[in-house]
This record gives sequence, structure tokens and C-alpha cells, in this order.
Amino acid sequence: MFHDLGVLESACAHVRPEEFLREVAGLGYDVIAIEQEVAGQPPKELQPSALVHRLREAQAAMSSRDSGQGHNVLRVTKRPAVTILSRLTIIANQPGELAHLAPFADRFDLLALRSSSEKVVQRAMQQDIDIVCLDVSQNRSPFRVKAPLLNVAIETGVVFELRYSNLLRTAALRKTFLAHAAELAETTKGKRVIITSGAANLLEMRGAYDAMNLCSLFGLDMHAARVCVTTNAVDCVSHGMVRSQTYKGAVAMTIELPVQTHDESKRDAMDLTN
Amino acid sequence: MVRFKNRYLLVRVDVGTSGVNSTPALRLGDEAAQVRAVSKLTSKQLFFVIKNTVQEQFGDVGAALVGGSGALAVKYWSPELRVAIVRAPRALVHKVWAACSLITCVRETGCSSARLAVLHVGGTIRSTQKELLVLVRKQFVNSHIHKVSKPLSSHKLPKRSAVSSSSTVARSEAVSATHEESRLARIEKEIMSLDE
Repeated sequence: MFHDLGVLESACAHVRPEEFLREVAGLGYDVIAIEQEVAGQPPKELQPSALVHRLREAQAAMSSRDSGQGHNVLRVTKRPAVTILSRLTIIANQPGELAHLAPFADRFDLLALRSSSEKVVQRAMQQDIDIVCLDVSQNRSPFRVKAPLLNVAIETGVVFELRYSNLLRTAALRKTFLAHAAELAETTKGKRVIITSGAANLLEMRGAYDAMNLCSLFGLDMHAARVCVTTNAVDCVSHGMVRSQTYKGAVAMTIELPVQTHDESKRDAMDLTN
Repeated sequence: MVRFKNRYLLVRVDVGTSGVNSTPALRLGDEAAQVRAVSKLTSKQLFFVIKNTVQEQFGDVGAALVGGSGALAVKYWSPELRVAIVRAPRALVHKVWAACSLITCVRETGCSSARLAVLHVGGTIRSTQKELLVLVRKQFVNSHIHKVSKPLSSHKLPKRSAVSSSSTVARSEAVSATHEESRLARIEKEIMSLDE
């Protein structure tokens, strides 16, 4: 299960949903988070982007078409379904700018903070966020993540994000990003780090294995990088799920689907052989 | 004597334009448009794109280690499939792979952005060929099934005229199917005729 938990809204705004889904499935991803970025305090009524909804609908339509008659016999067009998540990223560089996240806690699957200030990050760790992304868009490297902060992250379940699209833009950005990423990889040894694309268009996305290989540039080997796009990302998603879909992280409600009986599954098997 | 070990990267070239000033954007899903865009690219140009990126990203030392011994080469390039097989020294395959991933523009295609997606990394050219064949066949079957599934539904029409028209459709489908099959056979032959 490969995850890309940071695809910007603009990457899928100008393509048809089916095409976007086919493309990300072709790149090897199973879970994609569509990211909305907001600087400062977002409006209280902010909802996940309509794109998320459209992509989910398209995915449902595609899956049902794949499992329909005719196609199923040969089982060639069957693609794994891509899970679409919504993500809200809040940009804050001053302690005063840090927004209240409580209204969005149950609306978005993932809540993230982008910042270049250590104070803001420390304070945000007390709130219920899932992802911290250290801002490398300025010419200097962000602050150094040290062991105490990492320990807090481990305790609260927050992950640090590295976005490889920074490598694809300008030479200066590439340099600062690599310096920051090498530092973070050194301190964390890949623990509590996720690799995302941060892609602003589809061509900035790389395949899952390509992304893992890019991590070798800043000193994460293939195995550690794989953990970053799979295990760590799964942890991050479930952390978000506990926040958004449970009551106080303790109770969740699910709708029980009718269980397929033995006879029905047998009949389905018969259909296949005919 | 130990032979020099290589790795073979199977690389697909994707291109795109953002579509400004009334020119339509080049879509990733539009296979025909993609093929048209990369048809101008030659294997030599592709080689220099990769080599120059290695030079740019890893400097003189990296370029010398990767390309100095002549191990870096584009062994196969098919504009029709948009796929290339790139040979790289095994010890430095991660550098060449990273260089491929870091390419954002291939000027020769005339498109504003590009991507080199690595589909497979093989130890011999033979295993890479086999992987390419599997991919080509899968693509062929997929595109074919979508075509065949359409006239099937039109058979249900009760009208006589509709049936006759659908039979001509079916005939033209069959002609294009044999055409497609011969194309597939040609591509398969081309891929298998590669030598180390």
C-alpha cells in the first residue's frame, strides 16, 4: 500500500477525475490525499474541496464498472481502487498566527501544519494535528529537529513530512531542501517521517519506487524510504481517522453491511466459470 | 575474470503542457497525442538528456563515474511505445535513476514539462525485455477489450438496419483488430531482436 499524502488541489483541478485516478494508480499509489493550503486562520465553514468528492464518485463508478458483467471474466481491467483523502494544511510562521483547528477536526481526514518556526511547531503538537511540514520555501533551512521534539512527535503520533517536489523546481530550493532532508533523515533515521509529492501538477508526481529512490539522495536507503511511504503513512492516516471519526478517540460508529452467505459466493463463482 | 555488472532501467517518457493561449493542454491520458509529441525525440537525444542531468546534479565526479566507462547508454528507444531501455553501471544505478526522476523537461519534444517514469529495473537486458513485453501485451489487451465491449451492447438493438450497421462496425472492428495484432507482433519482434 503506497501512500502519497500531499497532492495539491491544482494537480487534479484541470484533469478529468477518471484520468487522474488512472494516472495515480499507474504510478503505483493506493492512497492519495488532496491538499488544501490556507495561510492563517481558515474560515470556520471551510469544507473539503469539491474535487475530493468528485474523485471519490468517479472511483466508485469505475470500480462498479470493472466488477460488472463481461469484464470480470477475463479479469484484466480490474484495477485496485484508489482511496482519496482530504487534507487541510495551515501555514503559520508566527506563534500568534496559529489557527484553532477544532472546527475542522471532523471534516478533514488529515490536518497538517506548515511552518518554519520551532515555537509554532511545539505549540501545534499540543493540538490535534497529524502532519508537520517544515517550510523550506525560504532561502534558509528551517530549524533543526532535535531529539526532544522528535520524542514529543513519537508521543503524540505526529509525523514529519518531506515533499520531493521541492527537488524539481529551482536549484536553490533543491539545495535547501536536500540540506534539511539530510538533517531530518540523520536525526530520525526515517522514524516518523513520511514522503509526499507536494505536486502542483500531475507531471510533478513520481512513481512510488521513483520517490523511494529519490530518498537515497538524502541518505535514506530503499528500505527506510519504503517504510516512509507505507507504514508511517498508514500510521498517519489512522491517527487522522481516530481524530475525525471517533468520539474522544474511544468510540466509533460503523454501519454493518449484510454478510454475503456461502450460497451467494458459490453462485458468483459459477457465474465466472460460465 | 568477473564481468562488468550493469542494470537496465525501463523508462517511460511522459510529456505535458499547461495549455495557455487557447492551445489545448496535452493530457497524460491521451496516448495518441503523447506519441505524437515524443516522435521527434531520438535515442541519442534521450541519452544526452540523461547524461546532462547526471552532470548537472552530481557534477564532474558523478558524470565521470556514471558515464566515463561508456556503461551509460540508451539501448532501445521506441517513440511508438514511449519507452526506452537505459543501461547503467550497477554500482551507480541509484544515481542514474535519481537523475531520471529529476528530469522535468525534455526540450526536444517541444513540451514545457516532462517526466521519465522508471517502470522496471532489471539485471539483464533480457529480463527487461520480458517485462516490456508483458507491459505491451497488457496495454494491448486493455485497449482491445474496451473496443470490443462497445459493439456487444449494440447487438441488443432489435432493428434490422441497426443489426446490419453493427455488422459493418464489427467487420471494421475485425479489420482494425488484425491490424492491431500485426502491430503487436511487429513490436514484439522488435523488442526481442535487441542484443546485449
